[in-house]
Order: sequence, then structure tokens, then C-alpha cells
Amino acid sequence: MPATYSGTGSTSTAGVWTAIVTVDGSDVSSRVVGEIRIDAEESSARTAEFTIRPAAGTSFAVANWVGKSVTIDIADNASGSPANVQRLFTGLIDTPTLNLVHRTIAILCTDDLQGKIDAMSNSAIDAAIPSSYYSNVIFNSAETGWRRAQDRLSTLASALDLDPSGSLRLTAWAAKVTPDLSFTNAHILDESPGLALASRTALINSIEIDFGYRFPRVKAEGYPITYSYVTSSTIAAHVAAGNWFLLRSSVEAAIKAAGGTIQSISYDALPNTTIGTFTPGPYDSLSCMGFTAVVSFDYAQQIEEQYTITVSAPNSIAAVGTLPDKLQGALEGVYPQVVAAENSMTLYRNDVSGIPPMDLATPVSGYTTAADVTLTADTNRTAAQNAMQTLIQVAKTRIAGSHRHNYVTASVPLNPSLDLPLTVDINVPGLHAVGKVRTVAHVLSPETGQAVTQFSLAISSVAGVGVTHSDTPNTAPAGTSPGSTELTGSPTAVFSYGPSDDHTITVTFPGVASAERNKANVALSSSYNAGLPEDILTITL
Amino acid sequence: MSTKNTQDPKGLVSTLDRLSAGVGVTTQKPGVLPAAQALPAIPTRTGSAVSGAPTN
Repeated sequence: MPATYSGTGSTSTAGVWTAIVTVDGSDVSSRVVGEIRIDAEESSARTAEFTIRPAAGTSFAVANWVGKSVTIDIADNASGSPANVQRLFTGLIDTPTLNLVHRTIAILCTDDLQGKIDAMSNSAIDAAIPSSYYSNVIFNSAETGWRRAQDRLSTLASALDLDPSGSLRLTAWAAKVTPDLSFTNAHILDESPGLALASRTALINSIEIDFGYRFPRVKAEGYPITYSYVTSSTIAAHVAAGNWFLLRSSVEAAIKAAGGTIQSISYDALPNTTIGTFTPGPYDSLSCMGFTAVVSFDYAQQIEEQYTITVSAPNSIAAVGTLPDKLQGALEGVYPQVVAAENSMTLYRNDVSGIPPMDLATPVSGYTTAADVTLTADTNRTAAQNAMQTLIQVAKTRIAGSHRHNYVTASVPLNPSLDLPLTVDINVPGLHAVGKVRTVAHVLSPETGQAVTQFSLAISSVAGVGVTHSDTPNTAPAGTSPGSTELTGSPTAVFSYGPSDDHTITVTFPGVASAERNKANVALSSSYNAGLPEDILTITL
Repeated sequence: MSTKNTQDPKGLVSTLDRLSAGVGVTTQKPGVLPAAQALPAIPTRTGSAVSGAPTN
């Protein structure tokens, strides 16, 4: 890319240039008085300002000006006719300002960056900012257009703006390895180089992210229970005493009355031969001497994962100390109320309802088991992980952005190629800097013949060239997984079989341990390094 | 455009501010979990049934 433009001369010869300004398709170049100025800054609208003096007697109507298209070109006019025409601005008139004394109209134009992005669909915006992150949990998904673009840009170390022809472009903040343009003392205007270093307080090198994710898990207890009240050795005495036998249906009814679900059950059958006073009967298969069962109970527990995620730039912290910031986010899984979910599970397991619950844990004898539930796509684990990754990326971008607030400024004879996406190398006595262009201002003065491009470079400089800042890949922190725990309590069964007893069987299962049922707060911490570029910035006083 | 790049007529500052409205402003939501549901404890679970099978 050439460091000079033929219209404004080379390092050894002067140039002859002309500005071509059109309004609503009409060439108004000859009516321009004073300076023409075009300003561009990363991720912002490009603006242009100029003043025209209409022909005497021209009437003014707002409709003829506001919103009309404007183009500004520069051309090499050395031959007397425009050559090497280069576009400097394409946009619309935003505000005309009349000066009735001087009969001039000062015109402020914009490239309408915001308007163009506002007119884009969400999918078009997403496609225009690839590699960015977006989460409905973190951002307001009802916002579209410009605000959605700002949300996405907050997760990406890149600038989104329009080129001089009005086309959208995305440019990484990081300077390219090979500069697009190199300027030396032969190009830079005398005394124009300047330097503004970032203040320490403007830096951010450590961001703590607090993220809470709450969701339910369904659980199942699998209680083994074994009970025997009579054996073949004691059955004769049992009968002789007039005691009663236990009906199998009563066992099952008692378990269900306790709210349990019989996962498996086997009965100790009555003997099929006469033993003393015991004589087998036709209905013995309905009774039992005892039973062995596995009984399950379903319930749910709320899990609250409390993430503390630290995103930092260790070499920056070593150089300037810790400059912290905070971000936070939260997501609650959308699921039926816990008590309603528990009722649904219990009613279904006990055949009271045929409507299956959304989720069930698989009971295992002797254990409490757990299972993840089916949450909505906007609130499930994937959504939570995406939200955290989005926040991590916001943090990385914020840290990177704060470290590129060192600005090197300079001016050169107007060079229309000098634009925001370029990486520029400035190497003049006392200063060597390489960075991405952050601002550009083309200033043309037809009256004086001077045409200058003022520009600034954003320099990311932390610990000095050669220092490497490692970057931790943005993978979501690991969450918890459903597990199982051994049951500590034991169920009991009592059968009142005496001839004058009430002949009831009573089964009792322990209550749910508070740790299994109360909201579980789980603290999880992780850390990530934010990678930073080290741009060349060498100053010799 | 930020106003610091302009050196122009009075009144332009506010206009340029309007042109740059919203640059870098995101819709990031405050992230705080609402209060958790309060759940009743599940006490000891007991069930009874009458067994009506005399031995003779």
C-alpha cells in the first residue's frame, strides 16, 4: 500500500489535488467554501463537515437537504482533470446549519452506521460479527439492530464500522504482523507526532465474574426392607396362640400409604405341609411369613452453583498491580415448582396418575440417586455455559480494550488509503510505534491547498515487546453432576398379629436427610488468562 | 465519533455526541438470582394397613 498519494505529492514532489463533493447526486464542489473535514473512529459513524455557499437567490427547503446523499472524493488534478479519484466519504446529510449573514450552509454528514445496522436483521448482524458471543441470559434479546451489535462487539476484540464507500467491515484490534503502511520522517509532517499514554486507572487487568446457576435435580431413594414375623420353625406355636397371618396385599397397602413405591418385593410363603397345628389352606398364597422389598421415594432438590471466575492478565498485574473489575450473571432453570414436580413423580410412581413426570431418577437399593432434569433450551446447562463463556469473553475484551489506550498520533499529507483497518508503522527519530489505526481525520482546505490526514494508532503496551501473554481458551467451567449417596437410615416394619391386636402392619421409612433435600450451594472457582498483544512502542527521549 | 476529534463550530459537539450515541453501550442485564423456593421438610414416612387373615 503506498505511503503517499499522487494528488498530495510524494516525498520529493508536491501534488495538485481537488475535492469532488456531491449532494444528492449533484456536484457542488465549486460551491464549497472553507475546510472539508472527514472524521472516522473505530466502531463509530464516520462524519463529514463542509460548508457551501449556494448561488445567490437560491431558496432553501429542509427537504432538499436533510437525509440527502453525500459523497466526497479527492482527485489528483495535476493534469488539469481529475485522476486517481479516491473516495473519502459516503453518507447522508444529518444537519444543515444556515448562516444567514454569510449566506452559507454548514453541513454535517454521517455515514449512518447506526441506521444501517439498525436496519439489519438479527441473523445478518450475527453473521457480520462472527466469532462473537451472545447469550440471552447476559443480554436483552429484545434489543435488535445497533444495540445487538454493541452486545456482540463487547465480546470481541474487533471494530465494526463502514468503509469510505459505505460497506460494513469488521477489523480485529490486534495489529497485523506486517504493517500495511510504513511512515518515516520523510512522510510525517513536522512536529506532528504525539503520544498519549494510558493512565494506570484506565487499565483493567483482573475481572471477577460471579455467576449463579440454580436448577432442580430429581432424586430417588431406594430403601431395602426385610421383615419376618414367623418362620416354619415357629409357625406351629404362632397358630396355636391364635395369632394372625400377614396378608401380602396389606404389606403393599402399608408401603403405599407411606408414600413409597415398590420397586421389587418377594414374600416368604407359608409352608405347604402340615407343621404341628399349622395346616396349609387354599388361601395361603395371599399371606406371607415376611417379605423383602426395595421401596423408592421421589423428591427433588434445588442446586445452586455459585461460580467465581477470574479472568486476568498476570503480566499486566505484575507490571502495574491489580486493577480489578466485576461482572455478574445469573440463570435459574425453568421447571415446574419443586413441590409440584415431586407430587407428579409420586402420583405416577404409585399409579395414581398416568401422566408421566418430566424426569425421574433411577432408584438403586441402599442409595439416594439423582438425575438432571429437562430444562428449557434457554435455561439448561448449555445456556448457562454459554452465558458464562459470554461473560468470560466480555471480560477478556474489556481487559484487552483497556490496554490499548496508548495513542500515537501523527499527520501526513492526505492519503486516502489511510483508514481504520490498517496497521501502521511510524518510525521517526525518538519514536517507533506499530499499531492499528484508531482514528483518521482527512482535512482538506481548497483555499490554502493544504490536505492533511491526521491519524492515531492504538498501541497495546503492557510489559514490553517480547513479553508473551498467554490466553486460556474460553471453555465453560465444569458444573456439578448428579451423584449418589449411601442411605444412612433404615426402615422398620411392625405387624401386630396377636389375637387381640388390631392386626395392622406399619412400615416406617426415615425422613429425607436435610442435605439431600435442602438447597445445595456449590461453590465453583476457575481462572482464565486474558491474552494481550504487545505492540511495538519504542520511545527515545 | 468522539467529540475529542472535532475542532469545529459551536454546537457541533452535541450533534456529534448524538451521532455516536450508544457506541459501546450494551444491554447487559444485572445478574442476580431471585430468592429460592422454600420447601417443606419431608419427615419420617409411615404407612399402615389392616391385615385380616386369621390363622384358622
